[in-house]
Amino acid sequence: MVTDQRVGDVVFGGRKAAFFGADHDAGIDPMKNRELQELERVLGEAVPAGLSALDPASIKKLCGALQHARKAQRAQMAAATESSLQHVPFLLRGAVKKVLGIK
Amino acid sequence: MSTLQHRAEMQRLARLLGPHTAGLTYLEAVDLATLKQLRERSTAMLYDADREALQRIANAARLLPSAIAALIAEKALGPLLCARIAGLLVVDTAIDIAKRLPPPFLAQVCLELDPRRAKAVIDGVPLARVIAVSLELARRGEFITMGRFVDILDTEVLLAVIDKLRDNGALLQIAFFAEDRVRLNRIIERLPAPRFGGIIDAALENDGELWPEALGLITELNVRWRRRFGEIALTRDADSIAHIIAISDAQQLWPALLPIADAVDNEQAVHCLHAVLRKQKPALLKRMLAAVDVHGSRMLDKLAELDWPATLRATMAAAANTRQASALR
Repeated sequence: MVTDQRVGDVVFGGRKAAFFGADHDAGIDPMKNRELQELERVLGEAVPAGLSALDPASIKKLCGALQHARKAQRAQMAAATESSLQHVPFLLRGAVKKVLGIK
Repeated sequence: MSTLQHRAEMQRLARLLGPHTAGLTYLEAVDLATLKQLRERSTAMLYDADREALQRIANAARLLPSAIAALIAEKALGPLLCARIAGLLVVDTAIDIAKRLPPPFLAQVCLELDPRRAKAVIDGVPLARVIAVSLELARRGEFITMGRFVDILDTEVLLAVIDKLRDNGALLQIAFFAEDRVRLNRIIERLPAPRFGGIIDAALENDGELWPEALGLITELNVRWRRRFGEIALTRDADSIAHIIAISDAQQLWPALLPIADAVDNEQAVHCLHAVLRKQKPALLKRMLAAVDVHGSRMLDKLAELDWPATLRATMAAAANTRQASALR
């Protein structure tokens, strides 16, 4: 979902880029362009303008760091959900599992 | 000063993205405002990405007695997930759980928490618990995190914490990392008088290790507090003032010190500073004078009117003439 444009946001092709099929901006190196688009997709909103000064490899590293943080959070949630149930009184386990969406 | 703020912002981002980031050195050239934007958008991404699943965990907590929910929070969820769901819980439930969690664990949660997302919960935590967690964070040296909480904690709560936090060096660093300077001015208004001198003392310890933070902070305060700190610093004994001069010169902090001196309206302070500067070498005075921008300096104008030894008279006179010429252009 594309958020409202804010001052200083990176804009592709003179308008806010959608996640997919964004217009190529002739002023930006294609490789950097791709990495910035991916960063926007991962962030879920516009990339701060100052980051367009980074080289493509750095943008890619940043993207990787964000994706890793998100995966780590998900893995932690999955592990925590399972181990939490061990502390839940037996009589309440069914209700808790239902709320958590676990079968 | 901005280097310190930049380093603080990098640290906040590194903490948010986790220990696997192995340093974010590729972001070191990014400006402060962009780093802050990146941190805020990354925070939103992490909080919102798994919102449904996090909300289910928060909903499940409502089904459990608070004692069991607290046990699960500490033994299974851990600080990161507790921070993520803090703002999703029913406020009373969250407060009840927080009351049952030990301060060291809550301190760990604070490191992961965006306090703006859990303000209602934080406001409801009993004062004694807030103080205990604050002292734990201070003990760990987590001043960047504490600065974020200064921006949202109730003023009376903050003052109660400050009362218990006797370490003026810690207080200085926490204030430096607080982002809401308007709020900071209001809190300083309620600071007991002895703490002002204590903060300057702490800043000057260990060869002025915290002097850049002190000047950076004071420069951003209202003129009333710049004047207060300036007058306290410049009405000390001659050795203390000489120490301030030496440290400011060694760390090239004249551009930060002079605006604070300019706020001083106390003749005794002017004369105390003059008495110390008279004994300095011409090279130091030249460095000080070179730091004055085109707008001049009230303090230097006052000092120029006073008597100087022959070795310094020409230097002071030349600088005064240059300032006058700039003012006329």
